Amino acid sequence: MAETIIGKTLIVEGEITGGEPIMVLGTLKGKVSLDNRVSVAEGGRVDADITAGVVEVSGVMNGNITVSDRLEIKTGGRMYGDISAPRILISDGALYKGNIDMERSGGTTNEAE
Amino acid sequence: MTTNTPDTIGPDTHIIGTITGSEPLYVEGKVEGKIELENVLIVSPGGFVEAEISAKEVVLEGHFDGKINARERVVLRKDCAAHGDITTPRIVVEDGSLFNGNLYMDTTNL
Repeated sequence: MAETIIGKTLIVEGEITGGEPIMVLGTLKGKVSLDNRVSVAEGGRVDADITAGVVEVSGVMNGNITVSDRLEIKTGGRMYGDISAPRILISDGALYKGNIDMERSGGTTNEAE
Repeated sequence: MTTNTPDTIGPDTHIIGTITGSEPLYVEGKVEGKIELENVLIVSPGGFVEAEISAKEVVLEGHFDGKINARERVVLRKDCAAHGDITTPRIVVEDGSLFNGNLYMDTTNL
């Protein structure tokens, strides 16, 4: 199974593109664009703008997210930033601060907080 | 899923930037920029690294272009292609590997 794993001690700063899932257990800063899944695992920290198919947050996520399928913030996950997604799941015990835009055809005001 | 899987840049992933860490790292995809590791860096077959590398040990099985500064050892495996400067106290070059560039063998720490 092809997958990119950014382990606990790893710090990646920069731009990531690709077509396979990424699992972040360490630290990721910069920009991510992929067609697949980005998982911010427990203990993982992401400071990045993400464009992806699916984003799952169990760690700490700072940045704006645009997904074509869904965003999931799991129990214990903390997410700060704006979300543009057709489907959103937020579990009990998750923390979120930011704007959510679920209307993909536009027409929403995009005010910064 | 969180414990036994090594740090990996998958074959279809492209990173431009800086990677630092203390665990072994496998590059199966493409990395451009800078890599600083306390452990071993393995550029797998099909992997492509265009970077300045500082690591304990570097094992090349794929493509490399740039500078390597290894604290212990560099291994150029069969079918690897390396271009650039390598600084290391110990090196292994296997038959069938390709290397163009300068090799500096720093033996002061041996």
